[in-house]
Amino acid sequence: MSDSLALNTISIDEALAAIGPCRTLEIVLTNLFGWSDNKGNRSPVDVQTFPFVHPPQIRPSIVVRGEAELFGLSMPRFAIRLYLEDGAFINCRRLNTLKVNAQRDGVIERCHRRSLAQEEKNDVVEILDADPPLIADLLGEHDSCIADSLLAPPEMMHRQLHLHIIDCRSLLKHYGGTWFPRDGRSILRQFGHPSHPHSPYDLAPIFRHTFPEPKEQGPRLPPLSPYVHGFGFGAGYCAQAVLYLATAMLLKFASRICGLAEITALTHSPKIRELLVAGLTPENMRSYFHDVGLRVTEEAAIFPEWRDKGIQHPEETLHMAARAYLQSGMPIIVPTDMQKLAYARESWNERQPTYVRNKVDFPAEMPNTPHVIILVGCTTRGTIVKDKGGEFIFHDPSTRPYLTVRGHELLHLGPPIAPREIYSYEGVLMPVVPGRVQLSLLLKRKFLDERGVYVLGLIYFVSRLNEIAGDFEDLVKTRTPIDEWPEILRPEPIQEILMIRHSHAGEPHELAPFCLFNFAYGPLRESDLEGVETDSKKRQAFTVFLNRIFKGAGDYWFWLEFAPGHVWMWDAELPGLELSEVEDEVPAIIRRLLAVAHGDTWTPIAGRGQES
Amino acid sequence: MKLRVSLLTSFCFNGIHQFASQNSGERWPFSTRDVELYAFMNGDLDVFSPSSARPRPAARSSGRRAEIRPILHANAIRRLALWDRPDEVAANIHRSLAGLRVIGLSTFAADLLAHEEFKLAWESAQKALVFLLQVGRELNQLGHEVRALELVGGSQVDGLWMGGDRYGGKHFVINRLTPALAIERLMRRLQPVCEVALETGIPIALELEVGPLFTVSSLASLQQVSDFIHAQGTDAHRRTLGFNLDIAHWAFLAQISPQDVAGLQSVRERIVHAHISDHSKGHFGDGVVGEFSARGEFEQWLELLSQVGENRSPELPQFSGCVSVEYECAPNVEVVQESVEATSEILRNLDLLAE
Repeated sequence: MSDSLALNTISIDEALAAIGPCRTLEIVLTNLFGWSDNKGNRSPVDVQTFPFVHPPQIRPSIVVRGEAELFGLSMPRFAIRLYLEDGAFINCRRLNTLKVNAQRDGVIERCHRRSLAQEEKNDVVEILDADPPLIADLLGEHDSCIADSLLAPPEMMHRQLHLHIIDCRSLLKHYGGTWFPRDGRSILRQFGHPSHPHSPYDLAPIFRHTFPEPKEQGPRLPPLSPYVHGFGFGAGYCAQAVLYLATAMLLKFASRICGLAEITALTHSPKIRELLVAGLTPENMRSYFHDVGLRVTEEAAIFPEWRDKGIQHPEETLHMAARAYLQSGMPIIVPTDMQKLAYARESWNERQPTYVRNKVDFPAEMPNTPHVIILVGCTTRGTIVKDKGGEFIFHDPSTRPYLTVRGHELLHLGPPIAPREIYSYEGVLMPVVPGRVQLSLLLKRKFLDERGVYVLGLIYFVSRLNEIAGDFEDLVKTRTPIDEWPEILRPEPIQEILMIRHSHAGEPHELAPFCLFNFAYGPLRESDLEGVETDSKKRQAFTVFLNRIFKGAGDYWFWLEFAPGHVWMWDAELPGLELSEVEDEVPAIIRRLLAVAHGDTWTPIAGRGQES
Repeated sequence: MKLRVSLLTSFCFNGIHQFASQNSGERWPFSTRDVELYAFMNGDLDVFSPSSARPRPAARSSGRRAEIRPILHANAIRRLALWDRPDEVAANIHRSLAGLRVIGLSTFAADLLAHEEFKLAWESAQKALVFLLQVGRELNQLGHEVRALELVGGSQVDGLWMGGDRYGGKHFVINRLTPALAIERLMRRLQPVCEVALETGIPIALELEVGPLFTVSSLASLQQVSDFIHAQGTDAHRRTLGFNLDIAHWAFLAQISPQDVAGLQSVRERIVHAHISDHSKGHFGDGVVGEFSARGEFEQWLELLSQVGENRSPELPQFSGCVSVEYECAPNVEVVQESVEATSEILRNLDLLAE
């Protein structure tokens, strides 16, 4: 910084004058930096005197830019960036500037519904008041200035809970870099760990607690997670915010990303000219993610309509799946109800409601309010059973980032069932994955002609496979083993599931350096790896193995299932198998799989990359 | 033709003055002295106010060196337009720049597409654009070479209102124009501006901004604008209205290829100016050229640009011959320098750099 000629810097007074009073900014800073003891108590942070690591700057913001477009205003198109430690920053909306401009131009009064043809109208809404709303209705006291930001978890929380957070430090590059304050030098063109030109943090982070970490030089930087707070449109804008956050977290695999205003447009049919700034349906979300090259699914350990199917241990299964997605770098959208987050004191929540435990302020009275949050991390210490699933970390676009929810709460936070809606979202997770990943972990619900269809997820498939082990010896004996076909049907509990992408082309970091494969598709015994001593040999063996399978194909997604004696490798790009409502098809599926596997060449059971 | 590298960033003239003035002791830090001016910044109001005979020096930072402190203030143009003295504004700019050459003006007038009933808003935008063209003409008389007025094509958003659903919920609703209606409105609103552009000889370069709410946002909308001009446009439209080929927007955000453009004569022949920066998958901000994309990708576009102006009919708006390195709200001088140098190097390697 000392050698740089800074541009676009302003004083904190100028910044706060443009931002205007914003309670959310104080709350977020207090909860990130105000921890005064290890019980999570916080001392209030004063924005005016907060030690930002660099003077505020006027900088671009993908969110603010879209909102200016929404209002048809020339300004404010840019945000004020407040710089925090370790590369973190908050892009602030200039709410005061917006208010002044919008009031002057009468933007909010531009109501012209009457000119639209019937087919262009949105039949969900009617004009509420004869008088158009005023700008004051839009920019109320609860509005937040916090636009697209990159934030590190509170240091004390990170230390206490041993968090795994989906690390998006690589997004710094897209923001034009930031300031690295510890030694006072600029990392404008450098991002991630200073000693690693290619940051290790966004590359196969999933193996960090499964296998020893690679030795790193220098101080390790905390993870950074994108966060955005909804604007002055009420709770409805939270859906757009979580869609943005999920896309930002998976930007590497998305085809594009845009701001919240544009997301609203993308979730509507091009024919509709009235765009509802409100909660989005799962169908809206699916459509949006498809449009940006990602995929969202509805998954549950047990769907409410399946409660009588006798599925065992749904809580543990849900936790395992949630951890698998998060540790693989895939965020999870959770449909919920703000009232439950604030007040729920049912038998499953013997302690305090989620918001109370997290010291979130909320109104004294809150009706059932559909809401969405996004899981971005989890604890890594303690077993699932002992700790009731451990804790999961979520960002709430209506309150603040880095809140915790206990694993067992996830089954019970579902939103109220909308009128005329058949399907409940109680206990439903909506993981977001790269578009090519089709194989889910839990039961997946999808809709064909408004009819719910259920797809067998990997965890259930494996669990059922374990239950019926030994029933297929006839098939196993008839096939010709490659060398020695492992005891594939030996019951083995799942220890962990993680997703990786293998790439042959130019992205060697995607290949986890500690992958332990050298054999063939299917279960691999750890004993097969004896004699493979060095990391390079392991890498080489794994590459050879994959080349054998794919014969030079580009890149591919896998689920890895870790069991005590084996590591299984599952094709994540295959669509799952649909289940009828009553028939247990797993034995039939396994027989089909084994029959297909007859012979030395692996063949997918369905075309790769097919859309489900 | 060979191309000139110019610079477009969010400097106010006061800041430029700080660098460019011979008396300031500072050296202009960029290898090009051609600048495209963003009209206008907050600090510019100090420079251009009627009482200001000379530009005032920028505020000094606490450090040893001067700090450029622009604060983007697009509405400054409205205030200057009310003053209605383009000659004095141009004279002040000329004095401020101390040896730099203005090759273009750049702005963003979103209100241009406001609903018909908000005449005050869209007429104000029209006046602002006309004023800028007049400033450009005055600058040219002072020896500058203003060859384009670049502006964003506007938003499809036509208003916001509060609605209620049948269950008692309240929601804001955005009204949007259809793409065809938005283009028709844009053309109509630009008509008087194009008349002035014809008089001043400064073409208008429409910017493509990617996103579902922008009027000019894709190859299809570029074609629609071209088709509209051809089929329904006035003589002023046809002779002055063109496109700004923003390489990062067209190539990396809108996924348009140089081959697409080369094959579309109606679009190619209306390219009147160009910007260069780098983007990845979203408009987070401008990046240094080569930050996200291979240099080879820029080469193809620059080669195309070197050809678009050749043998163009005098009945069409002409190409500026300049590629402006764009870095809006840059964090510091170094990144802008780096982008200018990267662009110059690519052009030099292609033997397309006008020295």
